[in-house]
Amino acid sequence: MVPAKLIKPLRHATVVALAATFPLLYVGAVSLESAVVTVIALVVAGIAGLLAALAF
Amino acid sequence: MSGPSLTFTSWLLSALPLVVLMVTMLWRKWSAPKSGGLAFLVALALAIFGFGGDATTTAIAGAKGLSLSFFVLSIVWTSVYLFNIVDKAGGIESIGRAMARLSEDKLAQALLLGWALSGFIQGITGFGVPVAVTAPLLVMVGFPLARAAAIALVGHGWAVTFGSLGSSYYSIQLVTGIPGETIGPHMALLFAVPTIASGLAVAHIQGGMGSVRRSVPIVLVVGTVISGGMWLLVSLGAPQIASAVPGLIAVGAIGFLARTPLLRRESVPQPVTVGASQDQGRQAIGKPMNFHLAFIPYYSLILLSIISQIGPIKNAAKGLAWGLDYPGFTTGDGFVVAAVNNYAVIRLLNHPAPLILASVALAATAYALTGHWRPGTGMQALRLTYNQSLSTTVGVSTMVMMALVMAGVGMTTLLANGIAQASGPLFPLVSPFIGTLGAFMTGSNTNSNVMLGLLQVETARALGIGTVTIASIQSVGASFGSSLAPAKVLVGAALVGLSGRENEILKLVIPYVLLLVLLAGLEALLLVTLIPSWTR
Repeated sequence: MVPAKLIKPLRHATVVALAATFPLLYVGAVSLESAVVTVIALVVAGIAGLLAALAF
Repeated sequence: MSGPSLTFTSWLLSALPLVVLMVTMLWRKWSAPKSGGLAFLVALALAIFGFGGDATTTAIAGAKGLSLSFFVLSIVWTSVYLFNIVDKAGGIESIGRAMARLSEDKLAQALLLGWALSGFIQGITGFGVPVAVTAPLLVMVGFPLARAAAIALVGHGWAVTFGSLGSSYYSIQLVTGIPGETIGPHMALLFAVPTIASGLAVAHIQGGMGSVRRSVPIVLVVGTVISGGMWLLVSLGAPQIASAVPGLIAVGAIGFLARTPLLRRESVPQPVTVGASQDQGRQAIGKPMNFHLAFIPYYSLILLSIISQIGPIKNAAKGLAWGLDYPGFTTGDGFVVAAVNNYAVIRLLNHPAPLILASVALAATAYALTGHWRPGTGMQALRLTYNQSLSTTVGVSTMVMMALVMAGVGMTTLLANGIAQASGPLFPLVSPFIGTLGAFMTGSNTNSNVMLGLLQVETARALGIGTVTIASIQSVGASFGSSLAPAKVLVGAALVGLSGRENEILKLVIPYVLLLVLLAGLEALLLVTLIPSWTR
């Protein structure tokens, strides 16, 4: 489904997305209690899940 | 309201992420990160649209999942790095040769490394380290990759509850309120039969029924020593070493007994192929390395783990820790999650990762001083570690997030409740499977006990069944069931070089673990039926 040449960069992107998700989720939901940041964090988490399902 | 209501539909929906995970991995043969990614998306959607989770509650649950993932992955990254450092210096080949010399009998090697040594390591560290250490050693002595990982996974299950210096054991006491002097010896006795059976399971993975028949005498003797030692130490008030000490004795006992007629010889000698599967890319330097020099990082890991538990040192390092505080919340369906401080805390002297890194530094120094270290080895090993751990990192993160999102909105409790209610008088038989489910979901015997221990005891009380037996069997089931946890399976896969092919290991491990848990359930059912007064 994903072109072969994109697999490797997408795998790295998955790790980056997961690494970004962690602070975003924590800061959004716990530190700032900001609905906007929390929703953005959940979207990034969803993208990470989608990338994992596509690239591995 | 105390969470989502239990109906057939809600129960099926709560099981859906797990079904997606298992079907895609086992039937569609997807890799763990691919299945984990999809299962996480399903859990996320169900949590928000079906189980009353809002953005904040779901985000907190997801962040907890990543906290827990970091806790586990830091062990994976450091142990893979350690392995690569030792391998690049030529140490793994030396260790493999020495292990092969210890006994040329494959069955003895499987029992010694996969059942006894892994149990000992679980006793002092835990968190996947036994699999991380013993699975590559088994590969080094010539075991096929998937079997090596499966032996390590199934073989260390007996040592989990009293392993990690007793953390899971203390957690079941804490949540159920049953004192240690009551539940401890009871639980140790319940461990006896599945522990012996796990030795036979290791033999079966190694060489089928022929090996099982050969192993019966030695497994019975060593299994009795392990179980007796476990019971004695728990009864004497030393549960924190009730896996480590019997594991260590078992290592010595198998090493000795394998040379006696107790382990019946095979008619045809078996060839020993050291490191047959991982020779590619190895760049040993100069003369072959001495076993003890090669084993320095593992010696130091064991030594550091013991030193770090000495009272004054442990107390002095208490403040050297990193963990996040999470607030409590209530979902739209009324499921209450308590606040937790220092979640998945990484203590400098009580978490394997810092100790493994210290062992890496010691090993590098020792190898450099003895001429076994080439400049740039550290960076080469680091790059290799990143590539080897990529799949594991994504797999663990997505699966643990899925599990914590499910637990955070009450899906896991609903799932367990449904199983408990449907089982009725057969509850003792089903009870260890609930423990297994918790361990599978969270990757930890301790977390399973915390999450489901009270539920198990309350259900037993409502059914008029012995609560001590049920609390014990929850932990026994979680102990053996933790071998199925994706986090552990992924560690095994990464260390033996099967990243992306975790389903091959899972397929091997599942029947053995289910059989061991069933055995534990039968024990519990017999006890509560035949001597109910003893089980309360």
